[in-house]
Amino acid sequence: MTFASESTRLLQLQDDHRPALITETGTISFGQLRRRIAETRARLLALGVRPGLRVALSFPNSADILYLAYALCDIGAAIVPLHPSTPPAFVTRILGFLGVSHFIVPKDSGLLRLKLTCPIVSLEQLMTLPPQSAYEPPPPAPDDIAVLITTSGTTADPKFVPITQRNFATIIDATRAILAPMSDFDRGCSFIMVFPLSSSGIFPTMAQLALGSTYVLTDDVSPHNFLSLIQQHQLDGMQCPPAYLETLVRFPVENYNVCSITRLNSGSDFVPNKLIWALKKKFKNLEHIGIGYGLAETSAIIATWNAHGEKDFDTPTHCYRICNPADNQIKIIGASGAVDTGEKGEICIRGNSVIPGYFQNPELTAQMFDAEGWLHTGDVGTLNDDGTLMLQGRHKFTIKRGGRSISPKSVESALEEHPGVARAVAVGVPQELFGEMIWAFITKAPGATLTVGDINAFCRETLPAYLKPDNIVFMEKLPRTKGVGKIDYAQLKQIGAQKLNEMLGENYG
Amino acid sequence: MADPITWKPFQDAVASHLGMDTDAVQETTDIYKDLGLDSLGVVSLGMKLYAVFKIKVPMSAVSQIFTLGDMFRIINDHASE
Repeated sequence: MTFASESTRLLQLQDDHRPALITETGTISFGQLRRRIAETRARLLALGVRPGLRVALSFPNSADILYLAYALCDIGAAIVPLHPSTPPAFVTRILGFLGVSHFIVPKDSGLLRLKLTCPIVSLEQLMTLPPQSAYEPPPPAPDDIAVLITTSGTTADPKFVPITQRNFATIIDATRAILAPMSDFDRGCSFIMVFPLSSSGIFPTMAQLALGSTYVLTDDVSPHNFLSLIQQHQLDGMQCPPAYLETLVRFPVENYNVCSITRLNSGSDFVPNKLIWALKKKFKNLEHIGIGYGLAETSAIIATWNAHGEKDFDTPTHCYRICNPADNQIKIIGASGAVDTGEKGEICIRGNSVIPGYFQNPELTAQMFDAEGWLHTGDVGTLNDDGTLMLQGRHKFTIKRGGRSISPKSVESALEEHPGVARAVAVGVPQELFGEMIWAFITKAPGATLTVGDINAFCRETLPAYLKPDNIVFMEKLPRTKGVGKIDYAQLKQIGAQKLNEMLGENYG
Repeated sequence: MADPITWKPFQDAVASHLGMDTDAVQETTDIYKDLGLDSLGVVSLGMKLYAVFKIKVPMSAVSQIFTLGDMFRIINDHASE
């Protein structure tokens, strides 16, 4: 199966007049969406875009990038989405490395002035071309690259993740899984999202749109605009990364009518149960929540946490249920091979969602994939008899204290049970005797007056000795990575090391 | 070099750090059983007290510390170092 054939088939099923996209300039029906995709496809062919070429796009969240993406996918060209804030020098480097054939941007983009070896075309220029009808490309094959995602690796160089047409097609099923049993999503539920479309955020949007959801698109993701759009269009659901949800719970949501919101999809980072309850206070009718676990290398989510009503809101959010529509296989590997059910180890995945390897990077591919094709995710977890996957954090952020490997999640979840704690993050700070000390960085719940002593007293009651934080630091705000704003564990480790040095001086041994 | 400390500021520092009533910080308080710390926890408590009093609890002394009274004595034994 290919995403091109499946998304075209699904889009054809949608009623002509039903709204597909709501933008600042108006509403686009599914009939109009299909026509715009076809018009864009004909112009891309006129421009010389052909199967197998790589075409970069850098757009704000708008209908235009979706027309282009569906059209490129249908032609069989690979989409290279680049966030509009990508620095020009970085754009030049990436496009050169990937051998991009065309770079398409909005007419007001500063990137039009770049000196590149490939043509830079504004969307407006593209759409003035006479449509090409003489050449009709063959249907894309499942192994053709549909999208090339740029992700930051652990080194200074980015890595490029090729999502094939087969991989991309699995996202449709994964999208169904995260929405299930919101079985009425295909009746035309409406969503607002804040994930950037010029990133892997485009996958679930294209899949869910094909399944019949209506999307409100905006590039102004300020909470005021976000909530105003929910109020104006009486939207059913929202799709936001956890960092954005934390912003929302600190905002006076009560000043807006958001009673239409019943659904929430999130992912890309851990969502504490406490955050879900805090959202429920703000969005009174919130019932259906889907949180996905996946990596760029798995194209889509491979496991979900779903809640349908308050009865489920206390189910630990790091305990996911494997959704396996793509026949993916999951196993857990310890130091000496596969471990038994319930034992901790590295999560490994293979199957239709998993990429064939990194783009032009056999060394990294050999490092991340074993001979049998298993992707070693670098995430630590346990696989349980009941089909749940308990995620325990990134392997590289596992804390090694006194010879024990400690999952940051086990410390964080316990600390977040304290009513005064909004968010807790545990990292290992290197120290000669300990290997690593457990440092907990904590943000307080609004109005809470917590002390280090309060936390230590709480830990005395709730945690075994080896999981108790060796040091506690309160922060106003936790550092987050760029993009969707994941907790920046690496920076917290650095802050810890610096503070430890300040606390003890260099001569403490 | 730092001056020896008296019991009261030691008691206050430990109570404040561990979230205990000052009265509950006794010389006989067992660090392992009553406070639920492990040996590395003793080291981290020593580090915290160092940050307050600038007196180091040597790693070699950790094996001799079982109670808060032991910790207090070891700190004062090393006050002049």
